Amino acid sequence: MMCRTVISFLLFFITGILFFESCKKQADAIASLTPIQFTVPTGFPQPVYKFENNPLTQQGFELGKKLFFDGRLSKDGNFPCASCHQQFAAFATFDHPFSHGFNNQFTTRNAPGLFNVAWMKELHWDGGINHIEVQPLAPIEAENEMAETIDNVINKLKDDAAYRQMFKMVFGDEEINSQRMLKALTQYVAMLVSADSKYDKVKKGEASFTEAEQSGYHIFQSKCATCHVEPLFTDNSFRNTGLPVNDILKDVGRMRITGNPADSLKFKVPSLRNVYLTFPYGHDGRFYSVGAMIDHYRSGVVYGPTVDPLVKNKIAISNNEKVDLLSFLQTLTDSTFIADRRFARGE
Amino acid sequence: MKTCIIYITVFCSFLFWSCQKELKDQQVSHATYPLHIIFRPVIKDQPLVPGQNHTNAFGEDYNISAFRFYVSKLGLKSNSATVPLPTETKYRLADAGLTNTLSFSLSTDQNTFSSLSFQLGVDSIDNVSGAQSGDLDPAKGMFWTWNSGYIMAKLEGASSYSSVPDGNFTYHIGGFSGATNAIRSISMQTPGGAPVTLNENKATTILIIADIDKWFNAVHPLKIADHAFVHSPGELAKLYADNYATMFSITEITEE
Repeated sequence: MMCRTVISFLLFFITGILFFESCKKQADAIASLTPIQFTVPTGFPQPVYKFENNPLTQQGFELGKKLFFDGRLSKDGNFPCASCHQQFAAFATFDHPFSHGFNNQFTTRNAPGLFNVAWMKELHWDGGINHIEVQPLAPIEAENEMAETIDNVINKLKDDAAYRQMFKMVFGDEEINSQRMLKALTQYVAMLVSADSKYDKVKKGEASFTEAEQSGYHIFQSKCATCHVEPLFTDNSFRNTGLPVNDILKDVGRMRITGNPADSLKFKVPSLRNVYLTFPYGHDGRFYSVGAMIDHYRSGVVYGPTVDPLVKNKIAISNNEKVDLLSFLQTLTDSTFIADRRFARGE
Repeated sequence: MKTCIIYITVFCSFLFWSCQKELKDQQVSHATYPLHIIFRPVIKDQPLVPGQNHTNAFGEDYNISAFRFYVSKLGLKSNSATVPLPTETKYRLADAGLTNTLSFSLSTDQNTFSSLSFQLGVDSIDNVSGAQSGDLDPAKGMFWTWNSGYIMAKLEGASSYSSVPDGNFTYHIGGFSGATNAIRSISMQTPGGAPVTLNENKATTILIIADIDKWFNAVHPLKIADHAFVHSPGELAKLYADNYATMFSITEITEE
C-alpha cells in the first residue's frame, strides 16, 4: 500500500516536472499570445491564404497594424501603407486616380481597396504578386511609392525598442527580419474582411432590398455577374475591358508579367464590394463615377484583339436599368467595415 | 519496498529512454566522409577581380561588379545513382563578393563519386509560398518585388559596349514556371572522369571554378551590345541560364 502511494506520488510529481520543464520555454512565449479565429463569412469559399502557416494572434495583428500605419516603412517617413490605403475609402485612396508617393511622384495605377485579400490568389492589377505575404515589398521598394530598401526598413524597426518588444512577444525572440515583418503585416491585412453590407444582410434574411435594388440585382446577375462573381464580386481573372491605351503610361497590364501578347491590356477584375467608396475606377482611375463606368460598358468599349468576348459588343443596359443597377451597387457598401475600430490606427 | 524501488527505477529509465530516442537515431554509426566544396569565380583562367577589365568572345570589354547564384540539391554520383548530400539549409546564396558564402563543409556516407551535381535556382514551390527567411530573405536582393519570384543568378558589371546610358549591364535571371523556367541542373565530372575515393579521416576538397565569360558565349552567343539588361523571366533569361549552366567545372580534388 505504502509502495503504491509512493509510486503514484512519484509518477505524478516526475511527470509534472518533466512536462513543465520541457514546455517551459515555448509556454513562456505562447501563453501570453491571444489567438484570433479567422471567420469565413456565410456563403464565402475557404480563403486562399493558409493561416496555419501564420497563426493569427491578437499581438501579431496589433504588430501588423502598427507596421501598416508606420511611415518609417518609407524612405522619408511620409508614406505608410495607410497613406494610399485609407479605411474610410475601404482602404483604397479616396478620390484619387493615382496615389501620392515619395518625392512628389504619383503611382501609375489606381490603388485598390484592401478587403477580402485572403481570398486573392494573385495581387495587383497585373497579378504580378503571387502571395499576399510578399505584396508589401512592392510598394516599399518602388521608387515612386515608399522608395525604401528592405534592409533599411528592418534596421529602422530594429532601432526601436517598442518594435523589439513586440516582435519578441509575437515570435518568441527579438529577431526582426523581413519574413517576420511580412507575416505580421499579413495578419492585419488578411483580417480586413468586408462581408456586412446591406447585400449581405439581405442574403442572411436580416434586411430586404427596395424594389429598385431588387431590380438592379437581377440586372447585375444577368449582365455583370460572370466576371464579378458573388460573393466576392470578382472572379480574380484578368480581362481587357476595351479601355483605350493611355499613351503616356502605355500600361500593357497582365502582359508585363507573363510576356504573353494574348495578355496584352488585361487587368484584374476588381471586386464590386464597397464600389461607391473606391472611386475613381479602372486600373488608371479614369472613370470618376460608377455611372461613367457603366456608360463605358454601354457605349465606350474600344475593340482590340484581346478585348474580352463578354464586352466586345458592349453591354446593353437601358437608362432605367442603369438607375436600378446603381441602386443595387450601393447596397455593397459595408459601413460596419469602414467604421471598425479594430482596423483603425492605434494610439 | 524493494519491488517499489525497482518499479521506480524502471519507470524513470523509461522516461529518460524516451528522451534519448531522437539522439540515438542520429548516432547510428555509419562511416561518414567529410567534404569541403569551394566555388571559385573566375574569368577564363584568371580569378575574378571586381572592376578588372576582360574581353569576351565578341571583342567586347567588360568588368564585373556583382555575381550571385542560388545553390541547392547537391548530390554525388557514382555508377548510376545520384545520392543527395545532406545540407543544413535547402538553399545557399553564393555571392562572389562574400568569400564565406563560396565554400562550405558537408559529409556523405558515399565513399566514392565520379560526378557532383547541384541545382542552380530556387524551386517553383519556394517562389510561390510567401515570405521566406535565411538566404531566401528578399532583403538579399534576389527577389523581384513587382513580379514575385526569385532571381536565380545575377551578374552585374560595365562595358563600353553597353547600350544603356551609364554603361552598365545587369543580368537578373529568373523564372520558375513552365515556359519561363530558368532553373538549371548542373552536373560536373571529376577531372578526367575517374571515380574519386573519399577518406573517412581527411576532408576531401572539391574545387569548382565558375567561368563568368561563359555568360556571353557558350550555348548561345549573347553580345553585351545586343542585351545590356535582363530584368524579368522569359526567352532571353532562359538563353542566359543555358549559358551559365555550362560555367561550372571541377578543376581540383584534394585531401586536406
